[in-house]
Amino acid sequence: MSAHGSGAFAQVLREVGSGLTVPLPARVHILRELAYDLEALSERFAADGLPLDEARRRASEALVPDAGALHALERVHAPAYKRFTAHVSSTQGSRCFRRAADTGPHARYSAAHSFQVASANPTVRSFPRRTSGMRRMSGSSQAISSQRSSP
Amino acid sequence: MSRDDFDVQGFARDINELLILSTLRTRAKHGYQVALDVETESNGLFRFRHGTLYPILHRLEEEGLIKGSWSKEGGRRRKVYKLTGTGERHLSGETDRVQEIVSRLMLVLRRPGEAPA
Repeated sequence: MSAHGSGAFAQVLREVGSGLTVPLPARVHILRELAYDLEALSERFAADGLPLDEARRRASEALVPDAGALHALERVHAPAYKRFTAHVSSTQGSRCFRRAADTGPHARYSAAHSFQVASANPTVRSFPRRTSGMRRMSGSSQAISSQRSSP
Repeated sequence: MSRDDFDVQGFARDINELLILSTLRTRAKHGYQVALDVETESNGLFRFRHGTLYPILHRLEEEGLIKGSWSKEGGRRRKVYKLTGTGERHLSGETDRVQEIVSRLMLVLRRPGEAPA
């Protein structure tokens, strides 16, 4: 069975798949798990005497994720860096900004830079000095090319 | 348990997690079987609907409280979950915590009322 499944639930699985913003491997696993459960549960309902259409409807009602469940799945399966930077942005970033704002003659610049680095992606976080020229309070006043040292 | 530890909104989520862990205590099960057993064992009081089961299962798996593994049945791939040792300890500790919360709640609810003036 493909990740989108086959037969009666293919359309439902396609819709779930298109509404799910998670890395591809996780999406395939989620859809595969859902495909099996939908088919198995509807077979079980049918074996209990429900008409097949009703059995499928009830299985879908129980198992197909609504918007809230999809969002919860996305939070669980978000890439590690995304969860980390989201956490930093909401906590550490603002603390970092306040701390930096209290220190030194270049406090305004360094506070802004610390905040931007703290809430930026992992590459920028790993090389804060390398990127400092690109991140001024007044905006990106220097082009990336000007940051490179000539051979 | 201090007053600060108790989060009323989080309590409902904790209950759902404990129900899942509890139903996996007897044997490994796949997702829909977990949902059916929770409903049956609670006489229909607790039901997972609209796919709310999966985020909880996947979070518990990520936290190492349950372990999911893939197997084949009739040519179809299915995911089966089982309780881990960590999950078992978590279930035991959290069951005690829920017991304490419910006991305290009942003490408050069943407190004799003052006689009307």
